[in-house]
Amino acid sequence: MSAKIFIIEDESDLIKALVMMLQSAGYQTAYAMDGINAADRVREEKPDLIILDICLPGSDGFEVFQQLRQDPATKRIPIVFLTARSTVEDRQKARHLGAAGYIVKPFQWTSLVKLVQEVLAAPGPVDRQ
Amino acid sequence: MSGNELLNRTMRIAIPFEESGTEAAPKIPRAVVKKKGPAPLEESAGAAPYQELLQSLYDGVLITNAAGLIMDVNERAMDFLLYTKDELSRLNIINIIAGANEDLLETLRRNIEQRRYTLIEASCIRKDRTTFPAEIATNRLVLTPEGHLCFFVRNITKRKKAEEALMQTVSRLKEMDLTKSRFVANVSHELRTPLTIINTFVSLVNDGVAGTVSDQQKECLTTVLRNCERLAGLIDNVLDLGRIESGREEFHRTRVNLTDLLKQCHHDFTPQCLLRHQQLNLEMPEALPDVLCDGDKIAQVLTNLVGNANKFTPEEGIITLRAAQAKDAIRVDIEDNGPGIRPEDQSRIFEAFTQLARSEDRSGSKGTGLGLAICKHIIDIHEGVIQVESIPEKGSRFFFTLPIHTEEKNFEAFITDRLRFMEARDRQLAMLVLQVAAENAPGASPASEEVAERLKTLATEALDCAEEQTFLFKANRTLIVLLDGTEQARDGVAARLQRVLGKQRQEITEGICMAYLEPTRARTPREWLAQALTLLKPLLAGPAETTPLRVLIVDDDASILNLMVRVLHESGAGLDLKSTTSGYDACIHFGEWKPDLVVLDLHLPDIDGKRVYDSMTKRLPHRATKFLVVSGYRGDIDEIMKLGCDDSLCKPFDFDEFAMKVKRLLNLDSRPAPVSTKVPKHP
Repeated sequence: MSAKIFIIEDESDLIKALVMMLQSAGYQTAYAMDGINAADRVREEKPDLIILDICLPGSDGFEVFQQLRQDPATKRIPIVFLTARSTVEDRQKARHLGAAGYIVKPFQWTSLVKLVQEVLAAPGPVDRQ
Repeated sequence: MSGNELLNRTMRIAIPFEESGTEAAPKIPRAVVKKKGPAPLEESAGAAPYQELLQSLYDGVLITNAAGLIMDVNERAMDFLLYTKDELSRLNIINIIAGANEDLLETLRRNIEQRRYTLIEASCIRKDRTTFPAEIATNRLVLTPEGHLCFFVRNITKRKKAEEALMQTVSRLKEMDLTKSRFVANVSHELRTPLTIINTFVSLVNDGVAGTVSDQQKECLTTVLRNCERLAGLIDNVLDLGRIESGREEFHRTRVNLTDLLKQCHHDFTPQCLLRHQQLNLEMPEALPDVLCDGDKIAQVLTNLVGNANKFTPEEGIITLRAAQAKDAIRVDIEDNGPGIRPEDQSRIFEAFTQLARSEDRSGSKGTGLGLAICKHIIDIHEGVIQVESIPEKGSRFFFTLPIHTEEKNFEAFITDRLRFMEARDRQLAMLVLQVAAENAPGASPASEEVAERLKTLATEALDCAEEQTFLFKANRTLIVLLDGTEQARDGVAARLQRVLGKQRQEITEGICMAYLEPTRARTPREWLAQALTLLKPLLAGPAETTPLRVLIVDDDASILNLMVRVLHESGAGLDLKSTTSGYDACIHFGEWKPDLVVLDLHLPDIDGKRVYDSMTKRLPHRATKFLVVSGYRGDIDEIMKLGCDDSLCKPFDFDEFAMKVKRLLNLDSRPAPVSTKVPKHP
């Protein structure tokens, strides 16, 4: 069975695009549009990888990250940040938290798919544009 | 408020008596002081000029005895305080200064003993209990053997009001700037989001994910994509420039070898140049010294300049990327044989939003007009220079320089970056210094260098996971940690270091001393920087000190010469000594050997000592050579001292004094100076 990617992103149009590109690459997808219910939804869906925006309504992506890490059921799922925030501080913070990847918007969809493939093959911190 | 608190809060400076011309600390004209005898103040013979002077002063003056009881005042003081002279004569000075007590008087007396003025900024209390802000300078007045204190009170109400207005304006401007920065950041986010969506969908369609695409459709979509990219570039540039101009852009300076950057740039642009049948050359020496710079930012400059050359040079053109070491800088040239730039345009090409009349590239699209402005800002911050030379129809040559610094300068640049960064966020910066103290200072043994390296690795590990922004800089055997100025940050960093370094106790702890430079709101960043540099100066001046200092001794009297050599040899300062009895030899040695100090007898058999001195000083500066002249004739000494000689000794002299002078001239006392060991508290 193909891997499942969970998207946490507040822009519905971008979710549409992400779903389209990930499905075309052969993945299953699910999503949440705010940080509040994201953790519950992740527990239900049991994805293999999470794509997480930082600027979210309700709670910030870093908080969602910590929440997912504290829960034994979700703490092993690799998380890739997908964000418009490109400062060194944010990147460092993401790396220190143990993110599997960091992609800055706007991005090439092919490079996102490639990163997803890499992380699923060998989960570990990867920092790329 | 106690008197001590008042002093801590208000005593801004204590000025040495010798320092004259300070506006805030008026001196009593000496003549007046000297004339006065021990007689009661107003009854003495010299009272008339004294009273006249007192009454004519712009400041209010209160004269008290050593216990602070007011003895005499001038009209101004009465005007300020609304008391009569009689009323004042029943008061103590501490009744006049808000918050003052006996401690204040004690401090004043102590400062006076140390021959220093005390300058107080405090409120003065009028008879009607209202107050006014004042600046009070104090001094001693020797009118009677017991001595008096003299208080010069300057009403600074107007200045205070102006200061307050200024502070309000500054904070309002800071707020506006912050609002602007936030606005720019938000706008960027808002602009990027829809652009991301457009870009993603168009490329999905273009790549056939949503169905088959005809060639004609593909061409349309490619054009959309190219313009999306351009718009993204524009947004990035506007933001970059905004951030750099407002000082909010972070610069991470590290040691960078430019050869690597240039090779990378050459590699990246080779395909693009090949597409246009252009030749891209790279000319540089095999090795270049490291420079302290932000590698990513310099790469951005290179990309911009080579990108422009690639865009504006016609097909079959030649672009050359060249690097070389100039005197104390590295110079990088980007040269092309393109259309060139008109002289009238060359001067404004680095200004923002300058687009030249003929600056269309091959695709007919214009640049953003911001690239070169960004380059200039980046090079400016690195204290380099960026310029253009161009002949229309022949080609253009852009070049920039990056200075090669000493460790001290490197640190200054490093700390300036951090200061600017913290200041832009209205935060305080503190500094922690770890030093591997070598027992055999000043020479650094290889072992201690190893320990310092190990220390750096450990400290980096310890601090890497710190949430606060912490920055490390290693120079010689010193490790400098710049950290957030809050107590939490300091204690956190200290605790982490303690934890990690504690494990390596045997290897490292013994060799470390720590100093902590407190962030202080009362200090300006510039003052803080100056203090940090003073603290670090002896630590950073490393390798130069490892070679023994050289002293050239010239005296025609062989017995005195031998004695001088022996005294210095036995001084234990490890000096490298050379001696001669001839002025001619001395000049030769001076040129070849480049001594740090010349001890020069002015009476030599072959050449006159003054001429030797002249010829040596004319050849300066080799390095900062000091001169100590020796002569039996006071007149000769005075003459040469007038020429700016560093120090002198009149024969016959005491050899201890000689050794002391040599040490002082060579700064030997300040050399093996471990930093003050004020260790931060650990939780």
